[in-house]
Amino acid sequence: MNIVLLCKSWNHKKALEILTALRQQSLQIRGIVALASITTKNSFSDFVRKTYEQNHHLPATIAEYAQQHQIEMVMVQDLNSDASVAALKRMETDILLLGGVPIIRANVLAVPKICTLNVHMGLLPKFRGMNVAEWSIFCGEPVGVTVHQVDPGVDTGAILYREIIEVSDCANIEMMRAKVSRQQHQILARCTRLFIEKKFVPEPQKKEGGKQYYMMHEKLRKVVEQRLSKGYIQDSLNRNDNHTDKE
Amino acid sequence: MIALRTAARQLRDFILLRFYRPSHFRIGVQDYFDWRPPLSALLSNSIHLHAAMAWLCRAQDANGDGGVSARYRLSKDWASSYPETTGYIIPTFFNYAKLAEDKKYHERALRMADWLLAVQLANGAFPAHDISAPSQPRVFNTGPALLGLLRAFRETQNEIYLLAAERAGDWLAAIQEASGAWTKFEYHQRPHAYHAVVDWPLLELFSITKKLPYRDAAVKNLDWVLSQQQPNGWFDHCGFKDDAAPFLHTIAYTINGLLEAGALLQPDQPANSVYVQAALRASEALLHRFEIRDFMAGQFDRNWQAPATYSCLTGNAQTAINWLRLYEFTNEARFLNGALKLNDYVKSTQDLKSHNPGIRGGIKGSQPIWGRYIHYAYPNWAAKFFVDALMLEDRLVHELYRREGLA
Repeated sequence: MNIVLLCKSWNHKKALEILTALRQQSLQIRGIVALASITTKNSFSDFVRKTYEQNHHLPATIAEYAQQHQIEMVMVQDLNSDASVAALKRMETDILLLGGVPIIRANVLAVPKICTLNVHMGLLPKFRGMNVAEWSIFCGEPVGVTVHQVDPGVDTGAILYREIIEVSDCANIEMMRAKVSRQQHQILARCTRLFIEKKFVPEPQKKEGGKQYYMMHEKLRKVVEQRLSKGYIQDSLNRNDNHTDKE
Repeated sequence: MIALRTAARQLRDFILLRFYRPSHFRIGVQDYFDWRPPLSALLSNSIHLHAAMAWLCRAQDANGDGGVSARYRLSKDWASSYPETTGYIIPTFFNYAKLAEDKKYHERALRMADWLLAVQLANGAFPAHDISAPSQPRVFNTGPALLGLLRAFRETQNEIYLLAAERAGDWLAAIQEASGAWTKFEYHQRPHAYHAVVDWPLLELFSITKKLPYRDAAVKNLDWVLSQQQPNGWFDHCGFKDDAAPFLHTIAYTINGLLEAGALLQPDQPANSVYVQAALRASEALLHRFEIRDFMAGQFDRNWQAPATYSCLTGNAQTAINWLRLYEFTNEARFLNGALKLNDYVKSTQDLKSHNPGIRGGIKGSQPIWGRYIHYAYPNWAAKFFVDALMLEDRLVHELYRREGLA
């Protein structure tokens, strides 16, 4: 089974966490296709970013990881480019995993022989899009993660698994995101193994089952911060609608 | 040769638009480089609100007739007073008078209403354009004037405003076509979906007088507007002309009219109104386009594609109002979220420091100022909708914070 990770080469904490979690699940990675650092029009921004990367050894880290574990790594200028497609084809990708990447187009999604999997920081189908952990709290709903197959829509692919994450111990948004982020990579790795072992039946989503959310405005984030600071108690009604984990 | 012609045109524009004036030059440079303050540096709503109200007061004083000057133009300073927009500026002034607890704005609103009485045509209609143009009766322009007169009546109980409003309402009902549309006495002799914004004051008139012809005319037109809606939420005939990509301004009018009419017809549960539902479908499409691009284009086509690279600031403020009202009706916070961002954007374009009284506190037609909608000018309706949007935002956010124990 050829598993390939699609990620960015900078700010790639997510990708490293996924790679580590996959190893813990005894899953071999066939390769990594990473987005090379973007050159922006603003040379000052470029300078700041490059200095940051150098000071934090960021560009080297994921490459070092790949080298250390003898994983093939290909850098591309655009994850949706022909070069990206060619690299995935050459690696004979069966399952493509997404590690914190921008929207992936149909040409890339068509390459994996089995499917593309992603972990989403919200409970699908209800909360699609961005900042969904924050939106869940704003709407008085549980915070959680969903592992799903990726299709050309935004978070509309078939659902493999959902899990609610307790955030009542998180005093603010930063702590909550850190907690959910830590857990979601473990969940993705575990689900990938179970999926390979055919222990999941993906359940298609209904389009009308949810809404797409967008970047939350500071004035609404204030409400979320307030609720977290008071110890956010999640709605228990939605706790028993997870997909069955047959493990 | 081409380069020479371009240079000649630019020189002509430079002179005609008086970019040699420091205040005009500054705007040109700011917009060319898109120099706007970052969101973190934006001032409180009340400062922006006050600046826009001060600009509207200067616009009212510009001609000395009680009406509000249509716009400040880089080419020719203040324009003549404009009946249509003076009409819907009246409720804005009454509302601000209450918010600021300052009678000055109340008195100004009444001066506007009195001016409307003076410019009303013999048949009850209100004229198109500003009063420097020949006085042609116009369906659309009569709606906002009606709104102003009705608010003046509610504030004062002076029958003179109600009688004028009834004359306007009678004219609208009399010239309506069997289909429910208005074609005669209209821009390009075409029916427009944005006439929904005429239906709203007709329903207000009905709520005061209980005379059914006003309600019937409004509902007939609203149903015609609904018949123009496509499955993707788009309204045919929602532009000035039947052009490929109407301005956001007229799209927002259509949505606004449906929302307010729906709320008047079903005050207990506006979210269940078919008109509010229609407005919701169009607003969903707009919200998605705005959020994925992080920019609100000034024009859209019937597939909600946005060819424009400029923003229609009036349309942005109107859309913010529509989304805030939708949040109020449906409790859908994604609309509140979008409205907050739109208001921030318009705030970031407002010049609070200019020495030019026509620019300071005003809102441009387009961002950048040479965009297609009311280019090189500051229309009074942009400032009016901006004020309305900020006042509504403040009220709704305050209510939300109060519920959360944050206020």
